[in-house]
Amino acid sequence: MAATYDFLGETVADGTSGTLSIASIPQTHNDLVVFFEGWGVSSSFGYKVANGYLRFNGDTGSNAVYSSNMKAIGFNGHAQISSWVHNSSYCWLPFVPIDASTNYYDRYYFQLDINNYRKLLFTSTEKRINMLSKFASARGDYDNGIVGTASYGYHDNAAITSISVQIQDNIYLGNGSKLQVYGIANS
Amino acid sequence: MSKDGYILLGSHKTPSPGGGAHTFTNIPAGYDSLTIRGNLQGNRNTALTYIQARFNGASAAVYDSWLNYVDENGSVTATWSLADNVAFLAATGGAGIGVWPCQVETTFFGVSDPDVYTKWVTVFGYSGGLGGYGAAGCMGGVWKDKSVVSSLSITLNFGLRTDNITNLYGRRT
Repeated sequence: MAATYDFLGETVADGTSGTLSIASIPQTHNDLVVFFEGWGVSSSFGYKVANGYLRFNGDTGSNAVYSSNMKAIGFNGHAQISSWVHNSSYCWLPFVPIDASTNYYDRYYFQLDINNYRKLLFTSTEKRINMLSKFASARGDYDNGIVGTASYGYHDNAAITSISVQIQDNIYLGNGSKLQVYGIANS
Repeated sequence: MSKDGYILLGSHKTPSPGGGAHTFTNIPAGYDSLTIRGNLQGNRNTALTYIQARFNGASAAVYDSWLNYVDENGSVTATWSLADNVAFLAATGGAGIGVWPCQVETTFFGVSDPDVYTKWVTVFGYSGGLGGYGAAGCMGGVWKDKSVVSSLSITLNFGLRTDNITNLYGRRT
């Protein structure tokens, strides 16, 4: 049985928005693999890193449907990071680098494996999704970087049809930041 | 060759009696990321050793790695290796624990972009069998060199064990 990874969609930031989205994800595969790479542009934010927010199906989480569990190690002070955000309005992407330059050269890299995104394997009425990610981020000065892994939960019964990544308010995603989705099909 | 998706770029299997490295050369440019998937174990009788890597054969001290895992004794290691001449990808057992290779998936980002440093993250683990000599965790880091990656060498102290396997994939749109 051969497994193939198929490119399903991509959206690239033009530097004028804080959100990237991919809609109408084909309901044709078994699993998804999502990639985000990018950084935030702001001259007034005041910090070197910001939070990113991953969401599905346009669900902004007013009903607290997301959870994040994280194990990572930080570059700045080499601290271990064991953290979680439960009953929240997003899946947490930590330490997205922020810079005033629109030509900033460093990136936040994020890979997310989503198994059973159409929820075809569930027989119960509760059709939750667990996901596993890994991420790496380092500013050029090696301050406030991070490498680690995280699990996420989307506590909703719907199949995943769209994905978005948003950065904190009043920050734009740098020109060329991109969100990509691949599908895995077993045939 | 497929125009998109994951493309298998090469495979290695360590012949008997073990030793040596898995080196991928002539990696084409243009991939958004590279991924290795492997089953890797040390070839000498140690309880725990490290899977390491070099890009483009570079041995200059410009690799920064961060290591975070739980080992065979249940102890958590959170450490780093700065300005080293090799990248740390994962922990694995030695030959003394039996045939329990570490399952490794490492993604290398920024490999084809001459404006950014290459970074990597690994999620790994191995059971170590009933003796419990396993470990699991994640590692990652940055190669402080903006060269496009054209070769990748996977190494272990004292070499790779017989039948160790590494597959290299490229991902592009």
